[in-house]
Amino acid sequence: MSRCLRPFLFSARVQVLRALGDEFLFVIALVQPFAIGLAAIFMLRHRADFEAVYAVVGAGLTALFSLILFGGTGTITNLRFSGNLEHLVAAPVPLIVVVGGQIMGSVALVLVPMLVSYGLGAWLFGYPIAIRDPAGFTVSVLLALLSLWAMGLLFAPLAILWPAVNSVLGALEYPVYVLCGFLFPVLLLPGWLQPLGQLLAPYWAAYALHGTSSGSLTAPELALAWLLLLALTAATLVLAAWLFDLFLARAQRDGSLAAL
Amino acid sequence: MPAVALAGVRFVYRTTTGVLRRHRKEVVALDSVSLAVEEGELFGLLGPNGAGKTTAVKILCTLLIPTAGRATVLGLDVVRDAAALRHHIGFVFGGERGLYYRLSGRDNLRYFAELYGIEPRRACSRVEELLEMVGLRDRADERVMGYSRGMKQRLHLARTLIHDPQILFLDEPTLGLDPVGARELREMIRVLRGEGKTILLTTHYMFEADALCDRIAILDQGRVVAQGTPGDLKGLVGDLSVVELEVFGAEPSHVDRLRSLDGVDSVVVEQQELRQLLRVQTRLGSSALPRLLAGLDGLEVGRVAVREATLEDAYVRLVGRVE
Repeated sequence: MSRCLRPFLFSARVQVLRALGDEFLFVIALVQPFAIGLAAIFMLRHRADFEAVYAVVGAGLTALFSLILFGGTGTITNLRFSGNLEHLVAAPVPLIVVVGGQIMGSVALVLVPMLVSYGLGAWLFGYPIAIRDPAGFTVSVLLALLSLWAMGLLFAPLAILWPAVNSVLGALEYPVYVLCGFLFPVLLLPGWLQPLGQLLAPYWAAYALHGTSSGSLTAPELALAWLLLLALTAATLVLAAWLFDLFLARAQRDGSLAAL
Repeated sequence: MPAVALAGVRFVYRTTTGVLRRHRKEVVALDSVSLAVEEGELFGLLGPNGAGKTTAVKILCTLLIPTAGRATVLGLDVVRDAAALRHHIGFVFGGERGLYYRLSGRDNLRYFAELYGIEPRRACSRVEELLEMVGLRDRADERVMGYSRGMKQRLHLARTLIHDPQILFLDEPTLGLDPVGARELREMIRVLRGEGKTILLTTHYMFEADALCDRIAILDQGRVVAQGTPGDLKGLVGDLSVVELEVFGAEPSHVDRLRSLDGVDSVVVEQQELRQLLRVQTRLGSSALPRLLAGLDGLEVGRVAVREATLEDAYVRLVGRVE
């Protein structure tokens, strides 16, 4: 375990150091959640049941998912084009540990400015952002991060094994926001569309986060959401590990670890 | 048991061409290559671009899986025992890529020390030791993006040595370096060899191979066409002299005429700005000069020199061309 833990943490650190000054991450971490949160507040503020915290949490989820989607799908390609992939594959640590650490580094880096943008938004518009169930919310945040991180890890080999899938994934950013209820409740969607999001970890992440921030979930409902999040995360990790093996075997056979 | 061995190794790259109708294309990079490198030996792999040198190195570094045949390093199979083998090998690929540019030189080394499982306290002293060795201590905390090509190449070497591997694969390590940088790197390679490391070096520079290597194999179109000590290979052209003629405005017809002369073994043309340097391999030595000059048919001739054949001449004879 420790053979992988330190390289994982160091990979996260390396990603943080690399990403400082990365304009793309800056936009995702600061500009995007702020803009989306603002748009959501203006769209929803006239509803009787409007709570600013819903828009704020939803905007955070959009930033995280965008980061996971584009960061995840681009990780291996970036390593390949920078010439680092071969050096990482030749190291004794499994590649999934290194890539996992790098994706976790991006996630950690995004959290700080995202919190700043929430604070700024709340201060600017005078909306109180109260979390009704802080303990439940904290656990939900951790589980949401874990599940989204696992998705990023799944996207990394998927995008490079099947470039067509990569294109489809790229187009899924906004549909996932909608299907998973990031910014407004899925109950607003047509009935036949609502169950679709339930197959995805971000749906349960949003469900748990919105539920604990507004205090609308009972203990069994929250436990079920956490259980499903954990189960989906575990399944995603198993699938990701298999895809990493598949990618490596294929790349070592056809010589595509290096970009020419 | 050899430290490094390839036995009947074949590697085929598979690519596709076309957009709507995709066609599979196969390129044979290595074809039944067998060679062995003994422990502590500095072994050179020479060959033109596309000969399969880098492919061979990548197979030995566990980065490629051979299509057929078997490769072992320290008795470990590069496919079956890849995980165990990776602790014992290190590699440098020529060029500037393969470093984290936004990190400092020191952070690059620290990162790889972690990936190779070096105990943290040991890693710190090892990093300092290597920075000192490659002469980067004063610039160690600067971002790599500000390093010169030579500095990046030295950092590559330091990273390769972070876990003190027994076997080193150096793929054109002096590529693109200025003469001083290349000389410094060659000196480091000599030092490493003196420490008992087994080194497999690929290079385009014949003088480098001649000066550094104990034994050399020449690859061409995926096959080993010759191997032996530099002296053995030079012996292949021991009966030849080389006449170098600097000319202006030589046409292919001039070259063909020289090639057709009795006693001329080969003619290689090297374009040098406005002039051409013709290297004529001949068994006749300086006595070939009058008929060579006559064959040039009144072309303006600059410098003329006759010398003994070198490793490069042996290479030209075996491969039939220069890059």
